[in-house]
Amino acid sequence: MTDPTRTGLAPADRRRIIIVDDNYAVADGLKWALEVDGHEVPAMASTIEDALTLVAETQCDVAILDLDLSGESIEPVARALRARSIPFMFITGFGDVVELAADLSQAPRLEKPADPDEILATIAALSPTRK
Amino acid sequence: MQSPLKPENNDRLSESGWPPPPGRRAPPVWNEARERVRAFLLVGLAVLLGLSLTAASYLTLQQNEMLRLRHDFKSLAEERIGSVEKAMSHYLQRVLATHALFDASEFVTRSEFERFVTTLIERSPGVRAIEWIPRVPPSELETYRDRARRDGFELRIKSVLDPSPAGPRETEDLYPVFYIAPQASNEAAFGLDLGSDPIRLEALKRARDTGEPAATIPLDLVQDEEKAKSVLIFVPYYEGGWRGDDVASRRQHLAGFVLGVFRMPDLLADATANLDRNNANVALLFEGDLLAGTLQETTDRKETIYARNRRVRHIEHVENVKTDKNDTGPTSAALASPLTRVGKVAMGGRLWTVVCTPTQQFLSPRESVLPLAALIVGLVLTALGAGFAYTTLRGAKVRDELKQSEQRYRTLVDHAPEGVLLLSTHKGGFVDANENACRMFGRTREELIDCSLEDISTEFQPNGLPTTAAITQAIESTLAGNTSVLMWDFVHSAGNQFPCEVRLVRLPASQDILIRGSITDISERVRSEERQALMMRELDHRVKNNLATVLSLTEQSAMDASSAGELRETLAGRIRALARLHGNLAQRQWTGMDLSEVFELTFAPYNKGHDIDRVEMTGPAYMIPADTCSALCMVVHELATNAVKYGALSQPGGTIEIEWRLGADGVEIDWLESGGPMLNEAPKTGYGTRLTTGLVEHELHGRIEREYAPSGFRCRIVVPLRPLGSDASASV
Repeated sequence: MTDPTRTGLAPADRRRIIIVDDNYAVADGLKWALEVDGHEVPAMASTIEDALTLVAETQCDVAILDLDLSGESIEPVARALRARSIPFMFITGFGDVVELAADLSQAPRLEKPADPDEILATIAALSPTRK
Repeated sequence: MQSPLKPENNDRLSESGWPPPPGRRAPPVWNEARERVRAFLLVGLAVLLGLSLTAASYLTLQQNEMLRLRHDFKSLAEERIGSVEKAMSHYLQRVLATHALFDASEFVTRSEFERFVTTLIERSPGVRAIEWIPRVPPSELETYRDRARRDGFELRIKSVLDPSPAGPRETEDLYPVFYIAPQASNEAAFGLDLGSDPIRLEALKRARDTGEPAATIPLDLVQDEEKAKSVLIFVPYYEGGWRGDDVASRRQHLAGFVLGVFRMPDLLADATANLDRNNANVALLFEGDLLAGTLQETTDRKETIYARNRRVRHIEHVENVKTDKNDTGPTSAALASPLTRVGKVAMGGRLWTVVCTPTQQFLSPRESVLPLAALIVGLVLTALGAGFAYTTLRGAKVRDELKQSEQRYRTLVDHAPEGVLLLSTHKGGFVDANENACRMFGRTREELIDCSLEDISTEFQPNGLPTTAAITQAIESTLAGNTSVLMWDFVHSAGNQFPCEVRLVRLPASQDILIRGSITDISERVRSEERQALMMRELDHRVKNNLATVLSLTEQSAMDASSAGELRETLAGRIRALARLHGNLAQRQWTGMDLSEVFELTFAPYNKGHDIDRVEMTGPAYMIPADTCSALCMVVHELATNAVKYGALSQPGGTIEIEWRLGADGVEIDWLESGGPMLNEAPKTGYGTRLTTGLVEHELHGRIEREYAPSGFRCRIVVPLRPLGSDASASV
């Protein structure tokens, strides 16, 4: 689906990004938006279990996490990412209501439906271009 | 929150009790008056009863007392009456004995007479004299004068009414006192003509005519300077001692009279000389004649005497014989006395009454204080009883009112919808609690009264203060007159905490300072509020997720669409499918729906204008959770859209068979199209196909196998669907 001709990013700015969201349409839309911009989305997960496998097995630069997966907290996934020093951001439909553990609350947090430009900017901030 | 005014009004209502119901009930003033009349009647009844009993016992005791006294006095009186009777009889015997002297001898000389009589009356001091009264016809007067002269006396006939010597009456017989003994102090009577006085003449004639002794009424003696009442009793003597058969012969043969002169006071004194005078007074009263004419008078007088109801204890001058009929003062008083005893004695045709009355000396030692004591004790008891009855009635009324008020209070408090605790600042704890409070805290009233407010509160209160500080603040505010409404967290005896709303009001108590706390358990309200907040958050989440989905669908649909018309058609179809599903899930409170319903729902728009029979669905009932419905619905919608666009439903006669069953990996859904256009190869895959695959694999964690057979499109979807109720997936 990736169409490199449409990308506006320099190869150095391209990132491998995994998406964890139980809503396919949203995840697919996000994936499409990221790929359009030039990023790569090697895999997506919709459950905690799949996400943890993904984190363990997939090389990635950034992760985008839905806070709530069918009622389950995303926190284990976030911790696994932190253990591997992979930066991550949260997208959520819950606004500010859902309380995160203190060690995770510093991560960027965007509300659904998120503006793609904002997501891209956040990714850039999380994973600055190495020089 | 309630306005601070409203609970205060409620308090006022409950404290003053319910307003009186209209009508029916008598006004309190009337009740009060009736109560008072009732109390007055009861007390009056008690007094009446007490007085009656007192009077009855007093009268009974008094009567017993009188009976005892009468009994004691009876023998005493009878002895005296008897001795008076005996004395009179004895005195009469002296006269009769003298009379017998005349019978015995032919002629009785003056000296014989004097000797005989002197001896005879030696021990009878009441006999003033015994005389011989001869019948002296005028013709024989000189003879008697001679006889007197021979005895050494000069007979001068004297008249009673005129004591000066008078000449002898010419025609009538004379009845001069001829012999008289003793002579001493009686000389003045010598020669006295007893026929000269009607009183004496009456007795004289009666004696002469009847042959019986006849007495005069009491009179004054000529010879008695003291004028003590005396009685003359004539005993007739006929010639030869013969009494005669009739009045005429008696008159003819009358020789004279033996006359007894009795000085009645002396007689009485003689009769009672040997008796103790300290205990009884004895009076001798002249009653009247035994003759028919005077008897009536006697009866009348007795009646007069007994009609008087005075009680007199003693009589003065009792030893004076009363002869005057009109002088009834002390006599009648004595007769009126209940103890007085009376005896009748007849003597010479005259009736005498002996009246015996007790002296003060007799009465005093015998007088009992018992009746008086009974009277006093009775009166005192009556007063006490009345007082007690009054006090008891008042007390009962007060207790009754108190009890009613207590019951009213208990009813109000116990049936209050809230838990009510009464806090006394004086005691520093609770003094009362209603049933609701007991239920609320899981403690009995006694246990609650033993608890402090801290015991049943959590450590901190919702306003952030420690409980002790919060209590101080709340009480101070209430005592300042505020009606405080606070949020308070309490602890049940089982340990669980529950949030409450507490209204504190200071009660108008006279001595103690009481604060009433009305407690409403707001756990349910709090839970409801929490639930509502959660739902709001959930709704927010859902809306945002849906918007994110719609946004994504829009973008992708737009990417895929070859024209604006196609975009509008596909996007609107997708959004409508989602909207229908939402509507149905909402109707079911997001509990989930049956698999067949998901199909029916998705095909609903296509069934319009198409034959429903073209889609055949077979499979078991299978409830699937709400969150799964959304993805499945989208999948079915995409498949159906393709069938309508390119597949079996794109031309008449084409059908779809949908069949599902429970397999090892979950639900297996077979989608078999037939009768559609011939398909030689798989069509170009667009967003729809990608979405379908993505939904099945990513969201439903299943797999989808597509086959474009010549007979038509087929596909098999295997989804590890969790049946509803197998775990917590039912939750939205």
